Amino acid sequence: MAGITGYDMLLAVLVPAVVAPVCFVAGRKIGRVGNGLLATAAVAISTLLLAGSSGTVFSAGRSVENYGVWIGLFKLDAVFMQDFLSLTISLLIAGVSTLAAFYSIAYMSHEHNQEMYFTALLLFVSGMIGVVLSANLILFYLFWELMLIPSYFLIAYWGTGRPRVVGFKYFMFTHAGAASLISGILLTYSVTGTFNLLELSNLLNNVAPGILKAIMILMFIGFAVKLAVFPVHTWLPDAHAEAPTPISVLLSGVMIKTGAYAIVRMTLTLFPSELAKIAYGLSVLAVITMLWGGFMAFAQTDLKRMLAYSSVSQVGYILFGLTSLTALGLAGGLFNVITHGVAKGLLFMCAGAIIYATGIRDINKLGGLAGKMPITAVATLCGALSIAGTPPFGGFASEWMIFAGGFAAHYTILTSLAVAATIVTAGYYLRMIKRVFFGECPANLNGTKEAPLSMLLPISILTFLTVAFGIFAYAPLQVIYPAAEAVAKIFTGA
Amino acid sequence: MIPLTYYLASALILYIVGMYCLAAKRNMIKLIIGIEILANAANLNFIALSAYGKPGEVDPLGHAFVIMSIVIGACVVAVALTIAVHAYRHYKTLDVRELRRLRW
Amino acid sequence: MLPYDEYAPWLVWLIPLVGSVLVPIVGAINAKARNWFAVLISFIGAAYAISMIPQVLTLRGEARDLAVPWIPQIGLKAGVLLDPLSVFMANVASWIGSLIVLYSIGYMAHEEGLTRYYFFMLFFIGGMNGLVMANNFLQLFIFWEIVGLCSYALIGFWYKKDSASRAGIKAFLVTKTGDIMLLVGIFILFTTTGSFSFLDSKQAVEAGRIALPLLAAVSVLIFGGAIGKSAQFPLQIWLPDAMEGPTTVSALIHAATMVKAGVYLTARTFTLFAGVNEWLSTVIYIGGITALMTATIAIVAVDIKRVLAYSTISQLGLMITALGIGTQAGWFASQFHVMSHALFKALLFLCAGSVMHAVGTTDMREMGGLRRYMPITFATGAVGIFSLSGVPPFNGFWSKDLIVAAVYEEHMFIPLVLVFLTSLCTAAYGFRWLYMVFLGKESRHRGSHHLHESPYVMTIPLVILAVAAVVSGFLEEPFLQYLGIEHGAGLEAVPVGLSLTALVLGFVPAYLVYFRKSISSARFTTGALAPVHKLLSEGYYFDRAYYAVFLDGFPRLCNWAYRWIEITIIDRFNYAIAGTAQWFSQGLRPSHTGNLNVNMSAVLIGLAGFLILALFLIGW
Repeated sequence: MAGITGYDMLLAVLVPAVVAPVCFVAGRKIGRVGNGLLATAAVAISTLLLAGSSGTVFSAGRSVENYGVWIGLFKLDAVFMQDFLSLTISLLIAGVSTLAAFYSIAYMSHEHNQEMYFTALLLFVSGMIGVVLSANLILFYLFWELMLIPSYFLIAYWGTGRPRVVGFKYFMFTHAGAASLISGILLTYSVTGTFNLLELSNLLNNVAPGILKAIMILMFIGFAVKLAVFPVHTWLPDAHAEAPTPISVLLSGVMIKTGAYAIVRMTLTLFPSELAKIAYGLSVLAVITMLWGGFMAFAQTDLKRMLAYSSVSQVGYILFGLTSLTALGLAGGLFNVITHGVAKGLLFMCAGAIIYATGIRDINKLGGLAGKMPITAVATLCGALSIAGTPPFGGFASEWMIFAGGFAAHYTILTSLAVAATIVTAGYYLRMIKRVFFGECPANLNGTKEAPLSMLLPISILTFLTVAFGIFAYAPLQVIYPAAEAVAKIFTGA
Repeated sequence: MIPLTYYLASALILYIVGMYCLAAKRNMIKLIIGIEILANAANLNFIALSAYGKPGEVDPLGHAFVIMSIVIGACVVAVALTIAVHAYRHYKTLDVRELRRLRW
Repeated sequence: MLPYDEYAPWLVWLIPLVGSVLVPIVGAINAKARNWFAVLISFIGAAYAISMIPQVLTLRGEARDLAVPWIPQIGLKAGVLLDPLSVFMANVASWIGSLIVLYSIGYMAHEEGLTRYYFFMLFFIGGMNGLVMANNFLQLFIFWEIVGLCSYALIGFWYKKDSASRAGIKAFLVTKTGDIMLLVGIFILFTTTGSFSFLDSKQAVEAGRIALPLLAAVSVLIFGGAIGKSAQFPLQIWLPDAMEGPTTVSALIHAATMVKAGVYLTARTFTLFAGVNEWLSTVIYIGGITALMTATIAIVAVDIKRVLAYSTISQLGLMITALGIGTQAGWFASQFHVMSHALFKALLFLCAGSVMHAVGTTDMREMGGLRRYMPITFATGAVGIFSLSGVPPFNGFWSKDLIVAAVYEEHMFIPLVLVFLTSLCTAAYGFRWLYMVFLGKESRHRGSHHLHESPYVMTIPLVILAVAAVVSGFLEEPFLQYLGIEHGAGLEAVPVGLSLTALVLGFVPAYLVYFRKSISSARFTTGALAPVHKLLSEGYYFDRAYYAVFLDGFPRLCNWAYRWIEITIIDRFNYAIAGTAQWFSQGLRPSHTGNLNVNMSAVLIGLAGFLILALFLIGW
């Protein structure tokens, strides 16, 4: 075991989880700001630990921490693994979560019961990090559900609109997907006798194609529900729009990407032959998701709901990149995971700043805020243009690679449709920016002030990252491209 | 000796009477008596079968069970009568339909 | 060779880009310093642009490709292409850009948000230089989008005005339609050749590695990008509305440089696609139709800048037509016209800005007789109009004559007719513009705006551009040598005759209607010609048609889909599942009565059931 401490991955997962009850107990005494800073520090420690493990990943290709037998009866080991793929996504999760935790400090000044909030937030983050680090299917499922439960509470108790109903809908929907997932996992165990991801790819070669297909489809349904592809996407607009803003940042920017991670880690790596047969169909599904998300976003007038549908649309892009099965497309899809996580997190934070400052969510009732909230305006423009795929932002860098991958896979018409979908994205984002920031300021908004500094700091950091990922694309690609190549090799080899 | 079937038939009749009483009677005291009849049916069954198990011998285990059962029956009646007394004090009636709280 | 030559191709675009990022920092210190800092940076960039000319001359028409790794994992390199075409465009962009930034000091002096303005102006100049210096398609596309972004931001500069924001969005989305075609074309080319680089693609085409149908498709797709960016038919609707931006923006972006990017792209890919007949036909007819259509619209426009906008589209159409001829002569004619048009159109826009600055309105019907008050502006404006209309010896005459000659040489009848009619209309609207603004009686509609000539900061660029417009007409030979082209296009009798005929035929009606007032202009708005006038005023109803589909129809479609499919079908489906589960449990609930008798009955029934089951299993 290498890295900073030798127990890097375990600590990265456990530190937020351990600090969570501390937050709850000490929360009342140290107040909202102290509690928030404690939570931010906990997640920041995780980020540093994960970054520390990158050394081993670069030199050896992967870093495995095996903590021995957990449940001997079913040969369950507590195994954590960090390779290029999980390094990419875990750094995204930990980084954006740190910023979201910091953002929550200002956000929670308008909310109640902050100690419970930060506790749930830390458990949520812990679950997400655990999902991408687990190398054992049952451990993976455990963290998959661990992501779900705190997020349900976060939506149901600090959300807006009809929080209980929305939270319940989110829970049931995603849990139904997870039921499909666990069936697939158990079926895997029954045919191979192990839950260990590291060994599974070899063992699955000997299984009959019919069962392989069934397992793949069951697991894919679980991941697809989490990833919110059409037609199982309807939980996303409600959940992401009604969740409190920092949680929307985490849900939209990070959590749904764990579905993409799982698709690459399991569906693509473990079932190459079966997947290659349905890859075209999945690409069609991805394009439908892109267009459907775009059309639905166009019909929205609520700021956060529009951003939620935009996430659905971007999920289509990510899936399209993943199903192109070429190195360039896979790299583009994974890179889009990063850039979209950053840009959508940025946009939700800006939306949160606007709602915090004005109390209004309907874009038809807003206007002329560019003069009152200049930094937010610039940040929103950067985030929106990034997602619409405009250079020099990161979104373009990832999207062109997705398109190149699609063309390389000879899906010419589908990819042309995908490229055309960027106009719809640009359309609704520019319309939103115009309605919210440009034009005359209505009388009731004359007293609006810029968002507080503690909100502007994460916003600025994310804006900087959005631009940096576009210009210096080679930096994240150093981590992403080896992962993409490794997966693509499975397909060209198979 | 009388054939075993007569004893078994009587036990069955007693069983049916007890079940009918529990299913159809509303008065709590009647229900308690019904429980007792059921218990007696079971006891009769035990005694009869213990006598007819091996010809000429009587299995003492059956009788031992019955004695225990009678004792337990007495305890059950005691507790049940206590519940009935308290229920009467609370609801002013011995109708068992008043005790309805454990439902959907 | 001067020591800094090595990096000039990179610095010509890096310096303005970096400078743009520094503008807010300098602006935080001092506003005036910021303005002059912007001017300084743009002139430094222009100096680097000029320094590349000696380098190019030594290459004699060959290209030099320099690259550095950018994304090493996929082998993608960022590079610059040093060849006559790119250096020429870089010079056009840099020098006109610098003059316009200088002009902005005076023109935008009373505006707010200038940090944003200078940031985007410098960002644009850097982006435009980067576009023309790029050596591969992907890099070209990146800068293509960057200049589009600057255009969006600068058109919507006065963001409090709703029409300005709308125009910005319109420009962005319409050009993006073209950009999508461009991107698809680039990627198909990349998939086939394995590289984005211009030189590699050229080699692949020459080696015949690309099948002809595929090449035809790619060529038309890439031209689609040019259609969007250069506002050709059918995507011409964004440029007239782009006049909502400040006049300096219109001059720089929408006259001299960004809209030329489409022409540049077509010229750059000329060597790749000149053998594809579908491409040639597409290019020449789209150019020709655009040129004539927008020239006719310009005749009835009443906004001082809108006339110039339509004129720009029309002249761009001429440049594209020249490229579509498919010969070296046509290629040269188009590039020469790029240069002369950049000069006289920027000049005309800056004149318009000067007039607007003094008069305070953009409606030409409220202007007139400004010759007396603004002599320098009038003189330079006249030079611009003479160039535009093709009056010898101004540069417009020489460049347009080259185009006519190139078309005539190839004996292409319909394009020749289109070009002729366009020249006719050009002369007509050109002189109409001149008369309505500067000559004739002072308009009664005008208020008591104090009329005066513009400050020196504004008139000096005007004079410089006017002189350049006159001089550049005679630079044909040096330009030929610079571009390394052998074929010389001299003065042929028939093309010159055609150009001059068109000029006279266009001038006469304008003279009669506006100067002599022998024919009343009201005869055109009422009476038999009224429907024609209406058609032209509405821009052939393109705007209305597009709005009906995209601004009205598309949102309706989305709202319909949202209401009827998303909510009614998909969401209801989910709620139906939940409802079924609820229905089951509600249905079974009444069976728990809490009544002891009922429970016992249930026990009895269950017992009976088990007994029957047991009897069955035993075998009765």
